[in-house]
Amino acid sequence: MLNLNNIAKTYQTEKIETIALKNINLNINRGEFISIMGPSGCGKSTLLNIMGLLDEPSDGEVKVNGKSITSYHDKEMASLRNSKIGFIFQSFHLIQDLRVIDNVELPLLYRKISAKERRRLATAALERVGLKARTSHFPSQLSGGQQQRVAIARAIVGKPELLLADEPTGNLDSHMGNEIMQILESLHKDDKTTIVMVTHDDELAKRTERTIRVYDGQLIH
Amino acid sequence: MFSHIAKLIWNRKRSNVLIITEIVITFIVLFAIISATLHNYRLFNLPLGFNWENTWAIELNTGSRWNNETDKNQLKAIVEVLKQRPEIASVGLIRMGVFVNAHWRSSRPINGRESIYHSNMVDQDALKNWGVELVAGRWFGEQDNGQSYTEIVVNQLFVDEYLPDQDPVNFEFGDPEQPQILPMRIVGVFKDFRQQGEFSVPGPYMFTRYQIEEGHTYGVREINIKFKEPKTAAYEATLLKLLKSIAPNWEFNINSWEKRREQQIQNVVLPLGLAAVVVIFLLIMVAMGLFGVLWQNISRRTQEIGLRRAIGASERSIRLQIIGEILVLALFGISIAFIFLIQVPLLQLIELVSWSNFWFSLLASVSTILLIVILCALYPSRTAIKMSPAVALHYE
Repeated sequence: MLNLNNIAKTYQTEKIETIALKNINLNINRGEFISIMGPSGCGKSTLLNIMGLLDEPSDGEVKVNGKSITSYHDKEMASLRNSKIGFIFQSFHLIQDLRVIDNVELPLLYRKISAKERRRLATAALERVGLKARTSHFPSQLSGGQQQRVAIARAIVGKPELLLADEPTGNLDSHMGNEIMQILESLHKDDKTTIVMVTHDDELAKRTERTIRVYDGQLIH
Repeated sequence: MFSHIAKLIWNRKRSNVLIITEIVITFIVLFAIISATLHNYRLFNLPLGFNWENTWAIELNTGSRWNNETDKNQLKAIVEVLKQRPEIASVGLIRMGVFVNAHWRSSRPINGRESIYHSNMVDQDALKNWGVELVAGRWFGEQDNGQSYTEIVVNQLFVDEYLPDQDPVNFEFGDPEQPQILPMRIVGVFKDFRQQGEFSVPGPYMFTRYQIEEGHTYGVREINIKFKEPKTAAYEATLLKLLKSIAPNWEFNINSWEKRREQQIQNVVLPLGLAAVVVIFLLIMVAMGLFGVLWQNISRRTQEIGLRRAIGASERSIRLQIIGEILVLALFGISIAFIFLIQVPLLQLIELVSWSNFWFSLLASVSTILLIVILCALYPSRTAIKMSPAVALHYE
């Protein structure tokens, strides 16, 4: 469902040029659960950002469901991100001034869906992660694990085909990390969601179907 | 999306209090200045009712209270001399001068209803000579001498207000509490005479007649002379010399109607201008405040903006949201101000805020504030979308 062909990413400043990724060729198949591992600064997050259409490669081609997105404009990219991809971040990125239910509803605001339907879908997503009872809480009233579950609910509320998780357990203790991992496994197993997860944790990586290793901006086979 | 923005603003109400307060205060001040300007502009464009060109006012100071027995003769002598001057077209007497703030307010029952009006006194031909338009009846005349009524002329507004369904000409009304005073008879109706100038509010007005031969207990305070050609200030000395030769014990203060009018316009326009400067200053302050708040807001919310873009917001959606948020904030402030302002016409607190004036001023103030708000939000909203979502998400 996602193909990266000869992807390179270079950051250019006035004095130096930093090569974040080079010659990346990667296919993500529908229904896979993949982990990406590598030392800090090796380009894992950059790779995930390019997969999630959050960043543009300096070179190469990204295809979503066989279609190249090279010529896509902002509006089309935004629409693709909204309908096909869900994001889970290490630091949750919840909006502190919005209640849990409103945070989960956020991706649906950018679709033509009635307020009633948005509420129904958000409640169902929260139920899926076991937080139905916390809909009217603010994020600051929740534990780290609960906040990450809210973030997962937000990522899955729009029923995306691909879930990208950037160190989703990085800010959590092992118990909470395990809970999050169980939810991801369940989403993969029960809903056949394709998941790509960046992690530093070997144990978590072992629980995925395939592990991709990145070193110095390149894939190691 | 509107409910989402409203929810965000409501949940961030504490951090928005200051900017809302600033908008409320500026809106009220802006509304006040627009109302006052509009009110005065409308008044200025109404017909004045007389010609002010080439006319000078000679204020009389008899040195003590008017003594009709002696002063009427001195005044008559002055008038006769002035009328003979070839450069003078007409000479008119008036009790309350034009383009001055003094006025005489009277009341008397008409058809069982108390009438309130401004009253003044002129000699027989003054109004005709000043170009006042007669719409019904006649001016004062010799036929009124020695009659059992006090002849008066009133303006159309007087008729509209107190005699709407009656022929006003020859209508008589007395004062039941003072039967010894002669009743008043309307001998003519004139269009208008806005004695206090273009910025005065038109209202019912009445003139009684000053008879030069008989004089009047209260006398008159001004002689007004209309010239055939415009006169320069140099003529003032000649005129003063002439007046002093007839009445050496009186003091005279000479002023053209034109100068008085200019002074009166200045008295209104200057404070309005100063208030406008204050408003512009306030608007600039609000604009800078809004700009600063938005700028800071966007820096603080960079990660949130990155998140929104990650989950599907286009650049346009982000810009619209930022502009939408500040618009909702402004509308919230405007609504609070509206609650206070609507009391003014509802309770008729200030005469100058009529309903039409209120709605126009409201529309103009709302448009101005919203325009400023949108302009202030444009640049920060552009900045917000410059950063790629990937960078914005990791922005500290």
